[in-house]
Amino acid sequence: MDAKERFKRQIDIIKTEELDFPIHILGAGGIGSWTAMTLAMMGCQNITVYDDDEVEDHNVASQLYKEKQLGKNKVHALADNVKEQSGLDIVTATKDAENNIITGLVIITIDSMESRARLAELYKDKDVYIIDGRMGGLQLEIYCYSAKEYPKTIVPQGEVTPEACTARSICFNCAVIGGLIANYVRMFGKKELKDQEITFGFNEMLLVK
Amino acid sequence: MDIEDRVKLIKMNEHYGINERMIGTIIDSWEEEDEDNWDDVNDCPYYYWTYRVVWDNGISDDYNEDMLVIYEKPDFETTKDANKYYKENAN
Repeated sequence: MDAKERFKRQIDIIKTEELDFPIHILGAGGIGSWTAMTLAMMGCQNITVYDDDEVEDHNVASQLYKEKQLGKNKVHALADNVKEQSGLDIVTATKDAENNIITGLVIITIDSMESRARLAELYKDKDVYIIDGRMGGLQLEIYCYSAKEYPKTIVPQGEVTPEACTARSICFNCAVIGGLIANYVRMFGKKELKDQEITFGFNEMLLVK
Repeated sequence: MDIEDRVKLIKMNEHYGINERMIGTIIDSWEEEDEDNWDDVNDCPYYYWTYRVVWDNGISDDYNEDMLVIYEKPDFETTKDANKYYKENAN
């Protein structure tokens, strides 16, 4: 692959050299699969994705998996899809390996506040920066904080209103949040990212926070 | 292997499922007693070397010697270079 040719339309937006840092994507679901694919297409070279789940039928509607990949381990299916699209080899890991991350950009894409609280405690003294994507039905939230500041974004589990199983995830929300996270990664690579959070509502079609 | 040796993972990490295409640096090493395997003939403990590695993808963990090889290829300085090499030499 000729990187100069491949990325010539974006070099004044982001250079691949500016994206050469470890990126850890925790979760390969609705947010994680779109984020991994978008980052690989943008030119990130050092991506590791952590997940233990297998591809289920309902995943095909909103996550970047194919019908023929049903039953396959998600991270392996995602690695195949990313390689087919971009030529990049991503590193695949089981969920346990997230305990051994000591440096880099951590992108949290899981759907449990309890797990987020555990990760906040795990990374609070590590040399990592955290981008956390949260999605529920027709709303998305993204939190960008240093590991030290990230714990303040954790909401007690009892205060989280769960979405109904039938209104939890839709493909365009996943695609949009993957794109927005990629832009935050671009800002991080250019050392322009400041701690911030956004909430976007698809009914309002507005940044509501 | 010495501390600061550049190494490559040559076996799938069974616990974490991390794939073999990992390049990193040894930051510590020590000898451990293998509690499950003793030298039956001499009735003495068996020891093996363990290495703490920081991989280029930002993970750190401990590995037995048989999972690592010294990474000598001059163009294998980073995971990105390794990806490039494996891609060019696939099959």
